[in-house]
Parts: sequence; C-alpha cells; structure tokens
Amino acid sequence: MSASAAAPLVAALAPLDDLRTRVRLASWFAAVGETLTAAERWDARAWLAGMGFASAGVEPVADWGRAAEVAKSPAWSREWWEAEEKRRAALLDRAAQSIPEHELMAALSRVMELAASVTHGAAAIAAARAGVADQALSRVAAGAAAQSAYQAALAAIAHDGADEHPFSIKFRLFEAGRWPLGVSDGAFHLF
Amino acid sequence: MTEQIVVKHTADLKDAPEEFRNAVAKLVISHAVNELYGAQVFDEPAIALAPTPYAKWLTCRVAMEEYGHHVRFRELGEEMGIAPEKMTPSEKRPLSIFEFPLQSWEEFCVIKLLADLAEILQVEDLLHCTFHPLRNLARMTMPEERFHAQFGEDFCTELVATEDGRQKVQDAIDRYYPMLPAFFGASVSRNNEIFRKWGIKQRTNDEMRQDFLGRARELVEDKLKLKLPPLAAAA
Repeated sequence: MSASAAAPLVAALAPLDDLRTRVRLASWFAAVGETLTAAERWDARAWLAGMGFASAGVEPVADWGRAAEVAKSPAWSREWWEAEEKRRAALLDRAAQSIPEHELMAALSRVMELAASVTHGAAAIAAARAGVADQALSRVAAGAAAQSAYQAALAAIAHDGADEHPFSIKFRLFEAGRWPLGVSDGAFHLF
Repeated sequence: MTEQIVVKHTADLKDAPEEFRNAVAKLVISHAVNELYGAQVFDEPAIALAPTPYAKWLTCRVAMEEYGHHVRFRELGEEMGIAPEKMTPSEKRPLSIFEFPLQSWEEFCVIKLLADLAEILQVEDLLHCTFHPLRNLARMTMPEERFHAQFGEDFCTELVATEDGRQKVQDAIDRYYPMLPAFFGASVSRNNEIFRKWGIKQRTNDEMRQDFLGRARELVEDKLKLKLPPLAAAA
C-alpha cells in the first residue's frame, strides 16, 4: 500500500492508539465491591438509557460471590445482551465502510490480545485480595473486560472517537475498576 | 539409533539435521493452524450458545486463550522462518475433529471435555521435546489447556444434573466421541517415527490413543455416569 493510500487507514484507526493506552493503564477490578460514586451511577444510568433500558435501576454488587450469582442468574435479561450484539453488528458494518475487513479485524484483534493479556492477572489479584481463589470466576471477569475493550474499540473507530456510545460508557466503568454485570431482575448490576 | 540432539534456541535450529527441522516445522504449523481453527469454529460461535453471562464471558475468555495459543505457535513459526500464511487454515487443512457442526451449548461442553483432553495429551507429549522452544511453549500452554478441559467437565457435570441435560450430553458424546480416536493419527505413521527418532515426541500414536480412551472412559463413565459409544474397529 502506498503512503498516500495508507493515510486514510491510519487516520481511521487512530482512535485505537488512545484506547490501547487506556487498556494498559486501566485500574482493572481495583474498585469492585466499593461504594458506587456519583459519577459511576451517572455512567450506569447513561448506559441503561443508551441501551434502551432507561426504567431499570442501578444495583450495587458487594462481593465476588454475589457477582458470580448475578452472572449465573437464570433471571438475567437476554435483551441487553441482544441489544449489545445488534449495536456491535451495526458498528462493524459502519466501520467496514471505511476500513478494509482484514485491517479492521487485525486492529480489533490487537486490542483484544492486549486486553486479554492485562485483565486476567488483574482479576485474579483483585479476587485473591478479597479472599477468593476461583480460577473460573477470574477468567469470567477477564472475558467480560476484554469483550468491553473490543466493543469500545469498535465504537471508537466507527464513531470517530466519540465517548458517549454505550460501549464507551461501559468501558469507562471497567476502566475505573468496576465490573458491569448487565441487567438482571430488572436492574443494572454493578460490582 | 540416532544420537539424540537437543536444540536449545530457535537460532540454533539451522545447525540441526534437515529431518529434525522439517519435523519440528510440521508440528508448529499443525498447532498454529488447529488452535486458530478451533477458536473460529467452536469457541467463538459458542459465546452465542452459552446460557448465561457467566458462561458467555468464560467462553469468550477461553476463545481468547485458544487464539493466544495460535499466536504463540505462529510467533515461534515465524522465528523459525515459516511464512505466516502457511500457518493459517486456508493454507493447511485443519483436523477432521473440527468438522463437527456445532449447534448447541451441550455439544460445545462435550467438545471441551473430550477434544481438549485429546489436546492435553498432544501437548503433554511435547513437555520433554528436544527442541526446547517448542518444549517451553508446551509447558506454557498446558495450564490453560487443562483449564479448558476442566471447563468442559464442570459444565457437563452441571448439565447432567437434570434428565434433559443428561440426554443432550449423552447424545453429543454419542456423535462426537467417535471422531476423536483418529485425532491421534495412523497406527503406522512415518511422521510419528521421525518425531520419536529425534525425541521431539515421546509416544506412538497408538499409545496416545489408548491413553485417551482410558482417560475419556474415566471422565464419561466414572465421573459423569454416562456411556461411551462403541468405536469402529478401524479406530
């Protein structure tokens, strides 16, 4: 690819430079179980509104055991997962209009790889600090965090770095050390 | 008998006999291709099939770890001078165990239970490999492979607690298990002879297959209290 042909691609993927730095520096799982701040509650409500669940409340989750219960609950709302999947598909379509598929997938994979490499250890340490030694649960947390990084990357590319997309908001909660557990029993559970 | 050689660094591979180099390259290519293809046809699609966020996120993590294994093998291959495109499923045909058409969460759990057990055996056989970069990679990969098989065992154990789940898991075992013995290769295999001649691998294909059949029986019949289907004589 010539330099002039590559320039638009470099520009389209530029928002990922900032995101990768944020993935590296995030306080993954460092604030789980602590009292929610006003900013976190605001972000949680903004995520709910953005996803079409404005009437749902925000429910703090106090510990790893309860977080596992919420994530395993049969009362979880499939609607929020499906709503995220729809948004993901729409963002992929949008991004694919300006970025060739191979380059797009490669760029997203690099964000996922980075997130995968930093989140698992952080989750295991945070759980161990709370007296929880559960290999599966720390992997579940890391999987959720990496998924969020991927979604945020997609939102950053497709929305020109705008950070009010629900995926950007969810990533911000992870970045602040939280684990958003989604909607269950009519409330957004935030660990 | 060939004098055993040990290659401690990838840079020293150039001084090894051609047969040794080719054998190591075959293994690295095979692992790179199959780790990637397995993640693409089983682990990634299983995220949608998983019944709860817990299972979805855990599957997501497992998919990333499998993809990570591909990356590790691919990087080793690149250090060895293998072209990256040779380490993709489009260039080299993946194993037949990936031809199983995944349609349900129960099937995925059985795949993790049995196929990842088979993968553990393959990786175990490299733990004393005379090409140390491959040996080291096998040692790094092993804890994650064990976790993936444990994932299969844990979810299958949960599923068989209900009659409906029990039937679905048994049905998946009946259809998937017969595909697995072939994963270990032919009883008479020139490749395996060469691997053992150079100490790259330790066991014959039949020894590995027998070990797998025993461990699978222990898991399925002793632990899960289900039945393994009979295998064709050729297996």
